[in-house]
Amino acid sequence: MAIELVRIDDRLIHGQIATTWINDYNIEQVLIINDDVVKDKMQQSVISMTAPANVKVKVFGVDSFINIYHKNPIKRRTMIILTNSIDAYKLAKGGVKFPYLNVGGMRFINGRTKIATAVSVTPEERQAFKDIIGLGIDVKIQMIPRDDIVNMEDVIDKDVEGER
Amino acid sequence: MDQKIGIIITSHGKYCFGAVDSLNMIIGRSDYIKTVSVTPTSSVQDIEEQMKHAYDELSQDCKEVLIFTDLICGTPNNVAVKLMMEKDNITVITGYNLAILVEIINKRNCGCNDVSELLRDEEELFRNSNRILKKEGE
Repeated sequence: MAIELVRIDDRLIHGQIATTWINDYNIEQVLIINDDVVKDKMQQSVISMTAPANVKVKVFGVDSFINIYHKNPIKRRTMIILTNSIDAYKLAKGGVKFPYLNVGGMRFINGRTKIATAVSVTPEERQAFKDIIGLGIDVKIQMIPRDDIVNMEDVIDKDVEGER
Repeated sequence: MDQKIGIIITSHGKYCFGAVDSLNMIIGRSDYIKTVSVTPTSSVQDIEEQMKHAYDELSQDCKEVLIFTDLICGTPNNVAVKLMMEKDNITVITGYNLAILVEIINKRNCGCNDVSELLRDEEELFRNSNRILKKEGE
């Protein structure tokens, strides 16, 4: 029992997560690790509605989660949701163990460049993915289980022109 | 100000467009109905802007706004609920199909301008996010 899945998805918990990944991995609790969400009570209220009834949802800041991780072993089947690769790298560097990183969506906003459908990165985010791969973590883009999988290594240097 | 209740119909993908298309076939074109569709690549900011824009346009003429969303756990509902928490005249209803839309929008078009009256008989068929949040807060 532990971290079953670490996923990057800037929509946090939503239709695809609640109805596919949580079921497929028999997830008992979802930890949202994000410095903005931990400060946003309104967002937390919304999140409390979105998880399936039998799934616990907790929100942590990045640094405080890294601290807690080292003090309290995770017992439940857990899914971690992050919104970007920079936080994912911080977790990995901070000693949070995960062999595999699922990337669901970092959608296009100004300042980002598209590298795959639903995945766009700033230069810093691009570098963070490279650093994560450099730590030996397997990084794959996959929106929902049974979707095609794209290896992040294959697209990380890409620049998909003219699309959003 | 028109008394009519403004309506936003939102969904993952084109469901909302299809729903309104079919609705128009059955009861004819209605005014004060807007759609917001969430695509696989839309950012949350995009959707928040679109939802707010629809709300602002409707608010020019409507005192109350009803937002229909497709799934309780989806981005359309998340964005609608956030907007609902910021305003005091929005009700968010999750779960719609043609039968529900025809029933409710027809009732509205025939002069029902009170939200609780409009939703009264339909309570078993969908989930009312305003009530759910209220319960969670207790």
